[in-house]
Amino acid sequence: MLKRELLKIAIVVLATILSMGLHALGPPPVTLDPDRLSVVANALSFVGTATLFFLVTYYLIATVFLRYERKLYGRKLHRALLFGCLVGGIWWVGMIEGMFAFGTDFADEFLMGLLDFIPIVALCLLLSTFLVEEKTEPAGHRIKWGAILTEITVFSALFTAGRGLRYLTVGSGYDLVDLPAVMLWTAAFAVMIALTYVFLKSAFREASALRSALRFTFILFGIHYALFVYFVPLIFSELFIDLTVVLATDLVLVLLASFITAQVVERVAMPITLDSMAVKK
Amino acid sequence: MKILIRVAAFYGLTFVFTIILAVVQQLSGLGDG
Repeated sequence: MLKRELLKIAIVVLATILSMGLHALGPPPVTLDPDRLSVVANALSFVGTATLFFLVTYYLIATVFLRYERKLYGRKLHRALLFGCLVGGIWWVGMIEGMFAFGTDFADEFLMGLLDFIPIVALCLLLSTFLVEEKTEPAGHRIKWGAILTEITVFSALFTAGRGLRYLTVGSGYDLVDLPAVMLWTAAFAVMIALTYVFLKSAFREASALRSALRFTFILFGIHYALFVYFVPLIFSELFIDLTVVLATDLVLVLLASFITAQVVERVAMPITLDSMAVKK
Repeated sequence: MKILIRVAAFYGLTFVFTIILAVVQQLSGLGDG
């Protein structure tokens, strides 16, 4: 047990080193004016704070992955790739919001997102290689694209509509001239979360739709997303309140979208679940 | 039950840490708190 935990920590450290190395090669972050840095970044330096952030984040992603991966379908490396690409994908697409929030270039944010994506996939692959045992009978499964497409559409529409409502009411801090572009990004982000919801479903599904939605929202999505959102206020002495509102509303929206999608798509319109998708060979 | 406590602890600690950081920064005159 201790050996397993130590191995997990070693892999987390490796992923952090990879992440810091990759980010050092990427475009420089926005101006690091000491007056803009948070008390933490002033005390530990930007690199020190970022290192600590990645260590904690990767440890938590590793913990969630190791707890739920065996419930996913397929061979262990496929499960790791699936989980890593979905979680990393949220970080990749999520990073692009920076171009609206900070006025940075799309290309820079896209590249930074990719540099976040790669270490998360590598982390899951390493964890899978060294800490996960192969299932004796990998379950073959047939994907019903019609059902999946419906779920993704309903989930994404609900999340996008909810975010859109927030932009128009609570305020996003973005220029309303940019709203079409912001909404386009929001839809892409919503699809990314919906893909996570659909393809990780076997990991969080329970008999109760509410419990399933809570588990997806607050464990499989919320833990890494909360850390993703709080990276900026951890480094810079700004946006605390704004990002707390973003996190709280996104969690509520994901909870609602998960619950309603399950109710509408699975029980009323399309009574097909991942159970029926899993066909034993 | 154990997982519920752990998840609650994660969000609780994150929230408390954020509040403390915001208050400290407000007191030290950094940013918008």
